[in-house]
Amino acid sequence: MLALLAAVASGCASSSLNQARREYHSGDYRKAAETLEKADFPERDRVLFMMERGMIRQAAEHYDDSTKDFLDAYETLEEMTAISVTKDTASMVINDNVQNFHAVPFERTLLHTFTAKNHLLQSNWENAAVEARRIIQSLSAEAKKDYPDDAYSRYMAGFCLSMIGDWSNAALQFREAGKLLPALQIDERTGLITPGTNAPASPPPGANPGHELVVFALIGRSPTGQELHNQRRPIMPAGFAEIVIDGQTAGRSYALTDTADLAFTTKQKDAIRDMAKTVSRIALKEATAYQLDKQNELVGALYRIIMIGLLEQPDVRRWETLPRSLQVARVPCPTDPQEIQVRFVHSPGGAGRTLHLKPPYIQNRNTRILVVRDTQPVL
Amino acid sequence: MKAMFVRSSVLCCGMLAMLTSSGCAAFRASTTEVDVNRTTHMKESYDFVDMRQISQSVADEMITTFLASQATPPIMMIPGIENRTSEYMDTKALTDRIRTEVFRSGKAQFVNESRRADLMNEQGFQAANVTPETQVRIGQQLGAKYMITGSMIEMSQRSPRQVRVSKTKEKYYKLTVEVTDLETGLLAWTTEREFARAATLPLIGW
Repeated sequence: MLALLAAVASGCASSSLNQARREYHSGDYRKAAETLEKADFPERDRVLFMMERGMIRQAAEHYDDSTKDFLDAYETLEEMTAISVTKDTASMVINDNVQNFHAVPFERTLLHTFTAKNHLLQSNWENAAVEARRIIQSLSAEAKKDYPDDAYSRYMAGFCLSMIGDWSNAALQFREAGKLLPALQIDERTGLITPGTNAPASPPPGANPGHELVVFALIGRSPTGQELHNQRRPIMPAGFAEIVIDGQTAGRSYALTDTADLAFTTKQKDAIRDMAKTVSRIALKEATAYQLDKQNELVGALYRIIMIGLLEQPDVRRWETLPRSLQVARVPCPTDPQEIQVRFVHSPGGAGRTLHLKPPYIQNRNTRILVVRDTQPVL
Repeated sequence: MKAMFVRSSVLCCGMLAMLTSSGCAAFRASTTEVDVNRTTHMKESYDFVDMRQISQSVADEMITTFLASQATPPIMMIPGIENRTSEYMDTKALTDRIRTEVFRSGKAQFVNESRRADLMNEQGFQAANVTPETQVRIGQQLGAKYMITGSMIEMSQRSPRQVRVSKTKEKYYKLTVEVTDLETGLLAWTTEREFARAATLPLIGW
């Protein structure tokens, strides 16, 4: 009975969600999508479930379904503007897992970034621009507060706006992304990414020097909620993707955002608030146990075992299918490429998996777009 | 003690029975007709009420000003209205309604540019398979003189951080509609519609 109560209140992810996560991380995206097709989830975890399923469906190339899930998560978040008297009170009495999962600010931004990706992969440029504007709103000072900014999402917003010819707003986002990445140079007029701080001569805004390929590379896996709680930071660099077009090396991807960094920085920012809440809750439980002790020691002891020993558990719910390293490669491309290879390089000199991609490619004017992912863990 | 428990139980059961038998709306699924001409809004965002009002108003102005000055009903086409907002907005619904209203007025004719591919397919099919007396003639389509385009923009803001019991969201929208002369490339007519709305959301709920 006690174990059941603890399991219910612990907020542990459903077994199907955990199974789907494992399948996703092993690269079996279609199986993972099938696992979650009709899976049940507690209503308080609706946003988490939709984010996870949306990501898995995107990897399985079910773009419409993925977009529906991401939009469901967004709309549910939009409705969560009010402080819930019942759930907040319950969280003060039981634990934080009884509250609705509302995602941390950078996850809310990435929700739009990944929705935009679905639209790009369906050549739906106007809807991608809608998500770009939502990214910009979510990164405004008012919405972001003092949580960390996200260069990859800024870059994605700029890219989506450039796809509809809105180069002035795109340039603004490329500039903001560049400010967050001192080791890279992002040309705000073209979105070209180069290492170092010496900007190459660039053409005027919106001018396209020739055909190009933009690869959004998603590498590794973000820390799980438990890893985050235990402060287990990844120690290895995430690596990068090398782009080979028709047998010729065209360039490589550059990391714009590391979600592990965002997660740990966010956790740090919330640490004082979370600790204060946990201490208050334990004090409240201890005071109640003390009162019960006075009446009946056995009841007091039992109360302590259940409320503090079993139910006092951290909230480790996290969007765990998020990739760790969000990277972009923007390279020149022949007019009619016949094969694009993407080699994932995890360590200097060593190469991992290679993807061989054949036409047709998603294309907007002279720009071809690819989204690739390597879900192998980078420890 | 036992009598009190029995009384309380009976009272609770009675209240529950009353609640369920009364058909309380909160416990019932229902469907009702909604008046499409209503002028109230559920949220601060663009909705069907806006779509209907704006399209009607733009069509009326186009008919009474621009089209009234034309000697004969011109042929027009509508490539679409650009959505520059942060909302998924079906701007085709807006242009479809403008076209319907203008078409009904008899002041303009329209080419069906969105079905051009189907049209060409059907003409090709007829040329190959249909009897000569019922076959449509190829190369007889009429060209549009004017093109209707436009854009919808949005600006939004929220109440700043402060001690408060509710949160206010404001949204401003502006629709610009343009008619371009396809021969000269010059703007022949333009109009704007703007509206703003505020919604207050509670900060505390169940």
